Amino acid sequence: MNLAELLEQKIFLGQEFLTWLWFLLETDGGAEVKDLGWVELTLGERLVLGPAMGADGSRVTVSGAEGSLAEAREALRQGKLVEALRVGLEVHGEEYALNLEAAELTVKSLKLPTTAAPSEDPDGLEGLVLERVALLENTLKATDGLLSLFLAQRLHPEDGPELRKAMGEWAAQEGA
Amino acid sequence: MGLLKGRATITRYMVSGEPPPGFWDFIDRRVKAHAFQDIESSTEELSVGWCAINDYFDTGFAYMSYAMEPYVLLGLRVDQRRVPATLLKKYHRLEMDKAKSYLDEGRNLGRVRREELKDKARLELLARIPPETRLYEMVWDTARNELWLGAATRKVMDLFEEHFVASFGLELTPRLPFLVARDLVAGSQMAAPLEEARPWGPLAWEQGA
Repeated sequence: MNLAELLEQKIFLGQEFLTWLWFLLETDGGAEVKDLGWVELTLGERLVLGPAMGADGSRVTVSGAEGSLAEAREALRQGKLVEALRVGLEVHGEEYALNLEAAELTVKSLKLPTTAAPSEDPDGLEGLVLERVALLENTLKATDGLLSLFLAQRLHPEDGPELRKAMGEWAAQEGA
Repeated sequence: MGLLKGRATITRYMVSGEPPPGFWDFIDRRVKAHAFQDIESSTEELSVGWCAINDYFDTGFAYMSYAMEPYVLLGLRVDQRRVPATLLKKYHRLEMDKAKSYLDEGRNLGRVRREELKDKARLELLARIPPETRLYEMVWDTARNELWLGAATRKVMDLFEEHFVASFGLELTPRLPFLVARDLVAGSQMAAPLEEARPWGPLAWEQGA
């Protein structure tokens, strides 16, 4: 099997990971992430659900308002999985918000804690750039760390089925 | 959208391949050799090249301004002239009307001649239309061989990947979910289960199984 075929076969991992993020933020509110400590999670104002890999069906796009969230819960109950979401992260008291998409896990529209604007003065630039790069790194550490936590449970011979059962029960709840 | 200002978009790549000894000299030579070339006074439609990450007019890279060890920070400047289809249609028509006026009455222009006139109209418009400039930011962590591009559209990614490979002769692999997962579990007991993992599928939710 070549790499392209393998990636195509494993595309479900992105969907399952984002659905797990939603589950995690509603159940535990966050997670302990390597190198960062406790990362608090909040659901942002965008949630896109689509059919699971191999299934047919349409996409459902909702905003984070209460009414729309009920629509997202209904789509979840019908077996759809998260294809994209906006999620808030709180790391060391600083707030980040980003869009994640299941197909490529590309970080989009990332709002970082405020830093000064990049300067054209070369001496000032270096510090500002490195500060911004460190914030970008924190974001990626958080998303990688959360993915590691998901994989550790998902792929574990006993924890994996337990997690699937817990998520199944969560997904079946009426408007939780 | 970018990396250093405003809301950020990040496309992640792994860089692979073996740069020659004297890494920073190699980078300096290649960055300068593939720096942005101005097309302001020409009819070229597209120019792609490196510039300073914070100033697309800076293509001199004094004191290796792009190097903040272990990072290489560069801008990819893309200048493109676009001829609007409606404008081309108008000037093509004017060219054809002019050419027809030299023909005997009742005769029409042949297909080849019409195409030639379209090219002529297009070239004349290109000379009059200034190129649009866009800057895409790149942060390359040379210690971890990871690279971030401040864009996520396929067209920009293609331009960037092509220019990066042409500049440095190194390979870029997008960090897709499975490849990220594979890196994260490499060497652990999860490596084999990852390769064998199958989708949970939608029924699992309803059955809670």
